[in-house]
Amino acid sequence: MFNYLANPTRFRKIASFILPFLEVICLLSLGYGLYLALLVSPADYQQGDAVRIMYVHVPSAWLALSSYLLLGICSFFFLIWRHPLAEIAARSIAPIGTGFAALTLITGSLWGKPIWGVWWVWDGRLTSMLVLFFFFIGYISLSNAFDRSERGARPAAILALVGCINLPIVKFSVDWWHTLHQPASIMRSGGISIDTAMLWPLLTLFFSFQIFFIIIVLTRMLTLLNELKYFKQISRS
Amino acid sequence: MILIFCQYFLREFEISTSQVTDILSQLGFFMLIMMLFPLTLGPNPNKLSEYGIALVWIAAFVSVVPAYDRLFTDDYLHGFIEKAAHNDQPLGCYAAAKCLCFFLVTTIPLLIILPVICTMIGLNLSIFFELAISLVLGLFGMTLLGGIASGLVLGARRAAILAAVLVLPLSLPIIIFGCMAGIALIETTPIKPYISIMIAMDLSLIVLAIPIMQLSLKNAIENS
Amino acid sequence: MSSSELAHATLSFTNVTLFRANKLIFKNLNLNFSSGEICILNGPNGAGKTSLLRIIAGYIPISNGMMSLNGQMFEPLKSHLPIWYIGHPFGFHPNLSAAKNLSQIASMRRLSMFDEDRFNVIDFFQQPIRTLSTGQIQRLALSQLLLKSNRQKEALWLLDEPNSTLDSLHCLALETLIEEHIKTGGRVIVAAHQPLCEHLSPQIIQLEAKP
Repeated sequence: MFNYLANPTRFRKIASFILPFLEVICLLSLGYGLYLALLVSPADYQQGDAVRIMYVHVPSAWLALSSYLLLGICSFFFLIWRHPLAEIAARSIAPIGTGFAALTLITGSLWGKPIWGVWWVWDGRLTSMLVLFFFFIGYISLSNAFDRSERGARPAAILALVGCINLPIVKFSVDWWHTLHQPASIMRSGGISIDTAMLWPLLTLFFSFQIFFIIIVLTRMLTLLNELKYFKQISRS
Repeated sequence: MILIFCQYFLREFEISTSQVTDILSQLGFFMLIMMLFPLTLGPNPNKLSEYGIALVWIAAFVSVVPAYDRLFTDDYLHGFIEKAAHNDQPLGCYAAAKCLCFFLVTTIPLLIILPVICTMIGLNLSIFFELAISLVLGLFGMTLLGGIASGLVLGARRAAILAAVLVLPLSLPIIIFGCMAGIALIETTPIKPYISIMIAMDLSLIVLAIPIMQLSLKNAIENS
Repeated sequence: MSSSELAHATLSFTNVTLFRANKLIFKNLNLNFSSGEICILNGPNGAGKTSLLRIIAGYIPISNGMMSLNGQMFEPLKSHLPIWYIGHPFGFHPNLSAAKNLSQIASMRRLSMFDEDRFNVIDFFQQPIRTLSTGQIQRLALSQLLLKSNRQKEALWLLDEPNSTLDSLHCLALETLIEEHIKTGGRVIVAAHQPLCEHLSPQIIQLEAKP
């Protein structure tokens, strides 16, 4: 299965075939999810309408985290089997993951203003997300730091793997640090005790964000593949 | 293996003793940063001693981080690493010796002036020993992370700042637990759990960092 | 492979292709280097002479094809064949003296100091490398080949432009050294612009520049 998809020509064919379907699914689920989140779901009895920021904030946070994980997996495949498609996938994921991490931070800050009264609080989750954001920045700057662009691929892949190992430790230590300095004074966002009326739009939006993520990654991968093909043609002629 | 390790270590030691100014300037940098804190936070001794531990940690980190890109760069540019690849022992042995030497050369001078710094910012000298232990453990882990970063940025543009950008997020657990140990020291609660966690992190870093440095050095040779 | 087998093994390239930075350096190269032979790589700048030497030294992986020693896959950095790559940069630390650099290399590769100072490095032995001239550094680098061990006889020497900065006296010393080495069954591969060891009728490989 993996080998079957890993052929660049076949990948290009399949990807361009499924992209339109994904776009339709994404639009539909996004529309439905937004309808549920903005109109149907109830306002929080404490936070009011501000709680609706959660429907963007939480899916972005999940996506930022899972795209770093995916970056690590792609880097692993690239390091072990030296497959160029894995490298292209990693390079496509990185800026999108950064975008979602930034979105999480921004929405977190917007959400924080009405709830905490300040734009930024050194909350454990936000702090770990900030660190994740810097991991992405490190990855992108390392992979672009070399004069020959393909030279950065392997160092960056190694860095992504180190980051993947380090991330749980960072999370653990930030949580520890947070409990030490601010013992459970802040409400926990998106916990398990969420009402189904809020859970359902959240899941729908998460699904549509996920599809959106796949669409952008596939599009970027196709572009990078075309670019590679173009440069090869130029260097041959 | 141990013999070759010692050879590498001796070589590093001779090189660093031939560049004493590097060590001294780093030490000067450390003291300058420490001098900045009273000037920015105000000379109130209570405030200074409250933040003292964190300040020492920040100054120690900031003074060593810029040095990390130098860890392998010189040997890479002089072609020593590719020549060492032909020795019987793997490059990880070289990297480990290099990191150990770098750690000793950067940490020992820092420890020597640490009592002076402690008195200047009003930290009680009775906690000096424990503070030194936590600092040593932290800087040891930092050196290994610095080795990873330095290996990765070989051949990159603006390698120094890049290495710093890579090291600092990775080193957060170390700095968090190091400072917590310091806070526990001041509040006279047991610091043993923090020290144990730091030892565990250092040990796992040894296992992790050496193969990674070896991999990145090999990769750098292939592309030189 | 035992060391007696290694001593007479032939190093061969089958259909070796190398791409660097999406650029073709050479394609389907077939070469044989037997022991007791000197081989000279010729060709304009950018033809891939240094790349070829660095492939054999194990620094650059080949993109396609195979490098073998007596029919077995040859991995230079894992093989028991002693390899000396003498090319720029030489691996000396500028702040240490010539003697220190050389003795470090000797102890790291478990060799003993040479008896015969053929490249007259004694003259500047105690000076740090940063004060030496290019020719002197080249002589010091070539002196590594004089370091002794019982396995040096079969060693593979990869010399990148060894005679470009040498004076005629030391060129002669180099030629004598190469001659002695191949007479005892060693292998020498040289990338050179100036003629070298012509009386030994070397195998000459002409590499061509790619557009």
